[in-house]
Amino acid sequence: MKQFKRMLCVGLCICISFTLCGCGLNNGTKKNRITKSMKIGITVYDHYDTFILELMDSFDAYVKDLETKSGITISVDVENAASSQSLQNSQVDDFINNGCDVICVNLVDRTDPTMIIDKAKSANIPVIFFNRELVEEDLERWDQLYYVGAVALESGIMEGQLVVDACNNDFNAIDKNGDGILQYVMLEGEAGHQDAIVRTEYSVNTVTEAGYDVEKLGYAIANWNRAQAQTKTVQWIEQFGDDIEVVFSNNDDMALGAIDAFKASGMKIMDFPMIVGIDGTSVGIDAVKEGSLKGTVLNDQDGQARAIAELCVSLITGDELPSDIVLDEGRHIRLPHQMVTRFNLQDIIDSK
Amino acid sequence: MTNKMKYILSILLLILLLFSLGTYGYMSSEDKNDTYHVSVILESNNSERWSILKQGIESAAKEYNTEININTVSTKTGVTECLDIIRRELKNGTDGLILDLSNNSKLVKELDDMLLDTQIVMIESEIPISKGYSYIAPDNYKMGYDLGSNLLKNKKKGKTIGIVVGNKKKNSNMERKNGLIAAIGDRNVSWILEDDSELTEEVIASKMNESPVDYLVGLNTVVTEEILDISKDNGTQGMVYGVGNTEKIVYYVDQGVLGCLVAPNEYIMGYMSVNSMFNRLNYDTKEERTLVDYLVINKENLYDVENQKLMFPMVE
Amino acid sequence: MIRKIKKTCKGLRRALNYRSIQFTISASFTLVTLVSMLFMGIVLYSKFVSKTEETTIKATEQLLNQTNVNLETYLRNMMRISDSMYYSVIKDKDISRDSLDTEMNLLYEVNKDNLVSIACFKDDGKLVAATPVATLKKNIDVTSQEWFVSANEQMENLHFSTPHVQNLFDDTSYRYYWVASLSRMVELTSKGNNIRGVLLVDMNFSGIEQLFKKSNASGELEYIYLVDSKGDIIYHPKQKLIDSQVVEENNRKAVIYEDGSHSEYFGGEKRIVTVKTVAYTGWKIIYVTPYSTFNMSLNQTRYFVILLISIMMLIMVLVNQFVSAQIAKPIKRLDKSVKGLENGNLDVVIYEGGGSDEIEHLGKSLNLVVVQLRKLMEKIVIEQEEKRKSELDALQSQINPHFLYNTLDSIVWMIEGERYSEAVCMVTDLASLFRISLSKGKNIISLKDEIIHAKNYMNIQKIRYKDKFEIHYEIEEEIYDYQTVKLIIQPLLENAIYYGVEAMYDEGEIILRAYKKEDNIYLEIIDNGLGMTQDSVESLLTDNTRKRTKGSGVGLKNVNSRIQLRYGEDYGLKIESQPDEGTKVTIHLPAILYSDMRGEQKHD
Repeated sequence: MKQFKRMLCVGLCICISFTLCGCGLNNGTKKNRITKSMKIGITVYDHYDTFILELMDSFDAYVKDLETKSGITISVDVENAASSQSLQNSQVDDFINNGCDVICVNLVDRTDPTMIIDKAKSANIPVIFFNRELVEEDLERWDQLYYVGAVALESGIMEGQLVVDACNNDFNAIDKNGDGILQYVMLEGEAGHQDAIVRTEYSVNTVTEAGYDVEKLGYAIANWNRAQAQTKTVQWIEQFGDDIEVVFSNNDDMALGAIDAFKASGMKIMDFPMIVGIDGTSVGIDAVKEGSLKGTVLNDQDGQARAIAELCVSLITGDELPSDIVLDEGRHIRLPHQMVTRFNLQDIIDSK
Repeated sequence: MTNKMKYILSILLLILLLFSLGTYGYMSSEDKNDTYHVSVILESNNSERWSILKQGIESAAKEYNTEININTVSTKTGVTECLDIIRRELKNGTDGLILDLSNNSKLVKELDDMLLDTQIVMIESEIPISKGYSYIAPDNYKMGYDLGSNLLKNKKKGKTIGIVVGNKKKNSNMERKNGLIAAIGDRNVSWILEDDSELTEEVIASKMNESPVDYLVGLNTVVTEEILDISKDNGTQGMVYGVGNTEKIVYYVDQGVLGCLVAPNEYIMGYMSVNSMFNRLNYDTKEERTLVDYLVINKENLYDVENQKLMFPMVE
Repeated sequence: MIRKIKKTCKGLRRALNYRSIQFTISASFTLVTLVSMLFMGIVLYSKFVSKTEETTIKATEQLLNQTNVNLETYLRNMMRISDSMYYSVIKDKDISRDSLDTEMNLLYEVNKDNLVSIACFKDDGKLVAATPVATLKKNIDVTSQEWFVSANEQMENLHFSTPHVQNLFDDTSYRYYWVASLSRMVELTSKGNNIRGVLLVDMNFSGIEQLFKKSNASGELEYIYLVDSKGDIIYHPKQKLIDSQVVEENNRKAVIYEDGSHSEYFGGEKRIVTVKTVAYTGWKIIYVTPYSTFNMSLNQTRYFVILLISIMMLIMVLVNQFVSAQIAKPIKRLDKSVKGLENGNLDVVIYEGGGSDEIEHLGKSLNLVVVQLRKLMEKIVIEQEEKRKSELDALQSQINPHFLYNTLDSIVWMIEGERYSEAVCMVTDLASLFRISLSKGKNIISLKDEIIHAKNYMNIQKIRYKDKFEIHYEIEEEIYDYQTVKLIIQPLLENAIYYGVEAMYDEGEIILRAYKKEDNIYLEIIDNGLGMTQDSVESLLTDNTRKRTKGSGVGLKNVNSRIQLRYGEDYGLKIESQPDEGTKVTIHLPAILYSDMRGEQKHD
């Protein structure tokens, strides 16, 4: 009898312990060990784009700064969407599944943010769009959508203004053939791209509205790419040679490609046409320093990076943004452009 | 207790046993493993430096269900920043640290105090902390040696060599230097540049100006890139010998500026570091020392099928 | 230890011998439940397993087909581009004066998502045109590159190369492209002459990579990869690890498999490998499903099934116990009350409430039986009582004090009257009378003796009553050998004298007749005396309380009782009487020879 009772007790104990273990295992894993941390997921449209590259570098530096200041561990996951919107959509999906607290999206196709917005909204994760702007209606679909960037047409206007200023200064230096008309070629970023269209149009418009006549010798789409721009420019050089008086480029990389082409053709820098770009990347600034790039429009990638970083942290911790970053209408942060020429170059470099 | 009761109780017991087995199995198979949190701390001067390593780490992280937080410390700042980051990560509950740091006595002492339960894996270079750690690196000495023997092969008589070691507090650099010197002997060496922290481009450039050499040897990725920046416009083919595997470096191998490159397989290094960390976190705390392969690359063999795969890792 | 096992076995065996209804029911139910639950569980589980496998395999094939379709579309697209470039552009142009750039640019722009570049080279390796970048690297030898060589080897075909890093153009942003080259030999026209050349379309390999990444997005254990016709890996999710020899893959063997599913054993685990060949290129898509994928989801199900079965078994067992108890309880109670009966306790009330119909019926019937038994017992007791009483009476009547006194008085009177021979007769008759009365204690005597007894009595009475009456005997000879209960005629004769003829003025007449009829013996005592009413006749045999003072005290009832007690209710007395006419009492006996009785109990 005693033996049986003992067996019974032992058996019961085993049973209870198994059951408890099983239940315990299930619940125990949900411990939250990292007390303070946040995860940021970023998807860029093409991480070979120099501007984006530099933006990300600045962003990393600012994030590191904020980490140190706040003591929060911030892990950043940067993905390259390689110009594929569907890839970008699945990257956003992954971010949501991996528990990102904020998602930053540099849209590949600005007309197609629907999937991203829908997914983020249903997962209740805020999204910061940057650098490639989406339509206002889409941005208003949810109150946790933000945009950090610059005013596109401002850059176009400023680029045009660079030429206007140079012409105001010394028209003949630019109008090499002296016919009073500026012959130009246009290096466009991308077919159907918002920024490209705007920059293309407003840069030339600014010049014509300032009263100067222009003549388009050629235009090409160089996909924001230096080497492609170089190839196109080589072809133009073959075709037009010295006739080219101004080279408008939607961005610095392509401008540099044009410069490469002219350098390769053996032309001396002082004989170069007026080449202008937009972005103000460090290589662009170097070219301005060198004199091959006559001017560029600084797209404040540093300021944008800082704004994105601060906004990310502020969205998660709930802290206020620093006073110099202001949310326009509660969702926009637009940083102004700045013209950069040889003259104000030093100031620009110093302020970086 | 009558026989009958006994019989009933035994059957009930049996069934209860089955029940609890079922519960246990069901519950435990539902849950996923604990997610480990691992912090990586690397010395870096630009975002490209460790991109291949990061890929390896991330690929392993997905496999081992680990969350990785990668932190970079500037190569030029002192120990404080590094310690701050480590302190912060420990406070935030990280389970393990993967480190590539310089051997600074203050750092080592502080680490010995701070690291209690945290598991440590060191990559590329090691520092002498008292706690046990696993170490994953290429054979630094042999790398230096191979670089040296290649240099010796290609070097023309009478030409001078300048060695840029970089941060002499980095164990890896010193081992490579030893290997290099062992291969080339020190007759042809004009100067050796090393410092307590990573050298800047300006320092190297000024040294070059001061006493120009025909061949520049860089013993790690940072100085190699800096050397390239200085020498790229020079036009002389094959005057740089270096270590590393970034896009920039590979570009210049292709251009012929680099006569020979020793490229450690950083992808595997990253992958194995997470693998090793995972093992350590699962109580297998043997102190492993794993060797990572490296390639000896020059312009001719850069596009070989096998080399291509490692030198041009597919980044989308 | 062994002893303990033996003890438990013995205990079990003892338990199994324990065969009460409850145990039997519950044990068999439990066993059946356990076995059937187990069986069901196993069957369902294995069905589930095989269904899962089927579904997984089907899903695999679907995914594989989809991937194949995507890949083929991709490749075909590239081929179209190459075709367009050649047939719609190159063939039309004379490269010495025309530029291919415009059309090339257009084709590139339209397809730039998937293209890295389009380039056209002359046979000697000189570049004719290229887009989007046309700056070749310095000192590059195009003619030794694989795509160039193979295009020239197979002039009529399009040649797909395995993926490689593009080594043609100079891109100062350090950028490099992984491409799959589609090359073909083309006929260029220059100054009207035909020159051989090579048209190269470099596809962006990341397109193919994306395709496979998407297919690999689901599930971690199963994966899909791509090899070329020789088995070299083109894409593998763990490509870098395989290249560094950290991980192994069975691609060399897999490439030999035919299209379809094969099961193989690699890397220490069993897995299913499905192969599909891609058109145009001879590449093969391989989908690997380790068996552990099935097990992953099955593990949980397995435990769930065990859980479910154990719960069900628990419930079943408890229900079993309850139900079997319910069935068995009334039976037990019935059993217990019957035990009471066994012990002789006739007052027990058999349990007859509750339980199944059969049990109730059993209970009720048993109760009836007990009641019957009780009644029977009582009847026996009463009968025994009666018998005793009758016997006692009869015993009593064997010596009649009154008769004795009177007869002795008579004898004394006779002796005093010097009528010595009459006295002798009387004494002799008296002696004989008492001898037969006693009959050595026997209850059954021969009819001979009974009649002698009757004659003795009548002789004595005749003397005493001084011939007040006449007695006639009509007795058949044959009846003498038959038996009878003793002292049945004399009391009737007594009655006949005292109630019949004594009060008569005339001479009374008593007849004793005895005859046998078939198996019956009839003894009739007839007198022509006072007779009695019919009521009196009836009450004579029934009224027990009537105590007579005269005579021997043994009444008609007693005689009747004794006859019936001995021989049954078919026999006994019959009285017929008419007032003032006379009375006839008939004794009906069965014809049983007196010799039959010898040896058996003549005593009762």
